[in-house]
Amino acid sequence: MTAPAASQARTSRNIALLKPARDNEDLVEHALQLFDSMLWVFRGTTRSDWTLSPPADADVVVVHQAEASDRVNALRSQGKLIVVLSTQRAAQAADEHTLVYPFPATQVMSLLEQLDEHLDGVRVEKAPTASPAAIATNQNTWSFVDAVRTVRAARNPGIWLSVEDSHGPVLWVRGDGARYQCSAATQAALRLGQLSGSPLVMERIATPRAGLLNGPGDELLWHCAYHASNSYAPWLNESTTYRLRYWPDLGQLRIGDDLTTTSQLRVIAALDALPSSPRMLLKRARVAREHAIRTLNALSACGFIEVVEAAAPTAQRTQFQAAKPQSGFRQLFRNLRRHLQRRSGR
Amino acid sequence: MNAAGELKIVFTGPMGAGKTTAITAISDTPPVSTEVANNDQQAFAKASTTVALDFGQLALSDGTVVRLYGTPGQERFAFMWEILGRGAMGVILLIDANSPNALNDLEHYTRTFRGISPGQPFVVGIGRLHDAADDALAPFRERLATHGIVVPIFSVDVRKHEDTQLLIATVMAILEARMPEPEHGHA
Amino acid sequence: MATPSPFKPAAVEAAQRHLEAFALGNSDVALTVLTSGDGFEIAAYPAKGPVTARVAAMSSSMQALAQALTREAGLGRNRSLIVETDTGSAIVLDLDDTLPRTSLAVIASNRELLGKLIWASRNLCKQLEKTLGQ
Ligand SMILES: Nc1nc2c(ncn2[C@@H]2O[C@H](COP(=O)(O)OP(=O)(O)OP(=O)(O)O)[C@@H](O)[C@H]2O)c(=O)[nH]1
Ligand SMILES: [Mg+2]
Repeated sequence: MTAPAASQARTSRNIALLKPARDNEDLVEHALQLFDSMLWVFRGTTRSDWTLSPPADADVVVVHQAEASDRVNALRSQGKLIVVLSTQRAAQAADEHTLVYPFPATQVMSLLEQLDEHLDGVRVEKAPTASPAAIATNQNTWSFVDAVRTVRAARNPGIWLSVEDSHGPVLWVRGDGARYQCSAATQAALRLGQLSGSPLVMERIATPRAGLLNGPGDELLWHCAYHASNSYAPWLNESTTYRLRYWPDLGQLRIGDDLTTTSQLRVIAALDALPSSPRMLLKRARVAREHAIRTLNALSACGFIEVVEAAAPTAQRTQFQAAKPQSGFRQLFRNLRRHLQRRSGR
Repeated sequence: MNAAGELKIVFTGPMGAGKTTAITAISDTPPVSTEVANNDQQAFAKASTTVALDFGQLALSDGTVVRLYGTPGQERFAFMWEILGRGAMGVILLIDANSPNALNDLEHYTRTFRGISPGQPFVVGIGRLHDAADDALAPFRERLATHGIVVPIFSVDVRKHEDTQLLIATVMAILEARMPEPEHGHA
Repeated sequence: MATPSPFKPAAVEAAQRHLEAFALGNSDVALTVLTSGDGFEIAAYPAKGPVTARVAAMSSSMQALAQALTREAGLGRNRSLIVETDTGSAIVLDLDDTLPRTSLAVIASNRELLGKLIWASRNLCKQLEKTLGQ
């Protein structure tokens, strides 16, 4: 890592997150939170220290792409550097200062370093920093999921454990794994799978910081396990038959992305209809392989599925009387999904 | 099977659970309502209550119409439950977690509707859930598990379009999972 | 189920007597139930029982559906709803100016001429409106 020499004083940079005046989109909020959480996670690893400030004092201002252009131009004319957050997924980054949500941590890190150099007015020879690589790696993911599972098994609600990455605590887990606490920004990162990348260490502490969000343990484990890997969790066996014990609360766990929700629903419904091995399920659930595997990983990490010991009885399906659409059910569902998504403005 | 019949999804549940609210949130057309002044403020303190049905619809681009029916919640209108529940693609049960009867309501409505049409997809939405409890849905799951029933139980706020949408999407996923042969193409 | 009573006990008693007199004066009338808009039985003759409670709920549902229909059709507020069968008829009439809204259900056997039954029932409604309005 290109750590500054001890004698060298660290520069302090101010950065402002500009909330759009007309903030009617959850995604914008998430994007800003994600950026905020990354600043938090990066503390101490960047060349300079980045501190949140009001726009007037900022060196860099982060705006949403829908921000009024005269406001942005005014900021530019005051010599401020502008970073644009785009929430249009299809959008290509217009330039190197545009981040398309959900942006990876590595991209934010290198952008910060680049802005820093720009502010210095010096061109430092680019050396790859160690931190982004560490954050991008997935190799410790299962160990964190495993650690949380172990905590749950230990069932000790009397203590708290703090979860630290290399720069300090980011999350607190109760000793029975049934509750967790963190900032809104960290939670956003958790839901997007951008928290679990860095090596996380657990340490026993008295109580969490004040003023944090408080969520159920399933939520922590679900998202960590879902995002951990696009291959099977180490404890899952491709040819073992699993059955659904109960449905996870998708009202809480869904991340608001229709494709992910539909895929998760299909996998869970397929397992509910008939106990299956992951291999069989991939054929039956009609979702992308990666979605099926991730959903299975999350289901198993949280204990929503279990191994069927004996040969599975074929599911007894009670017939019921309902009308059949002219075009067949699958066409109906395609149309219905499209219809509902359009109505919800996605 | 009734090929010419209507495609319908039924919302049911006790008084004040949000059946009328859910259908209003998601229907394409202003719903037909049979709301009248509510005289039983003790049962649920709100101005109006449904006495026959709520009726809304989703009109799809290919001309197919999916009808959404809401039942009345109060027990004396139980005769409407069977009238509306029979032949539905799925039943969505809404429960108000704030009610002291929430668990009994869950059991009562589940058994009634499973009795009307046992194989019908059945999805439960629990509203006004305070998630201070470690696993706030556990009591609901466990109550049904004692009767060997495993169905989706989600925490929802049906005032939000996307939550009602989730409930309907779940009915669809359950029906899809039961279809024997994959058709061509992916959604 | 405790029935919430929106009307004074004396008014309900008087209404009960009107229903009784009506049934005794019209031999084909099998059942009369005075119902709140949300399906609670207020008074009935023969006296309250499981059947009258169900008729109360059903008649209020039908009245509300009829209301939805006339609203949709642009016909304004509906006054009555008539169901004829091979063996009898059921009439549901809206009472004017009662707060809360109230309706009367009359179930009669076929021997009664429907026109006469409607006329007699409307008169009963007027008496009930007066009684409940007090
Ligand atoms: N706070 C809160 N309020 C809710 C929630 N869901 C529904 N409501 C409110 O609860 C009330 C529900 O009323 P309705 O939709 O009329 O209930 P209903 O199930 O149709 O009741 P009946 O027709 O009388 O059986 C409405 O005022 C909603 O706004 C929720 O999750 N949280
Ligand atoms: Mg209602």
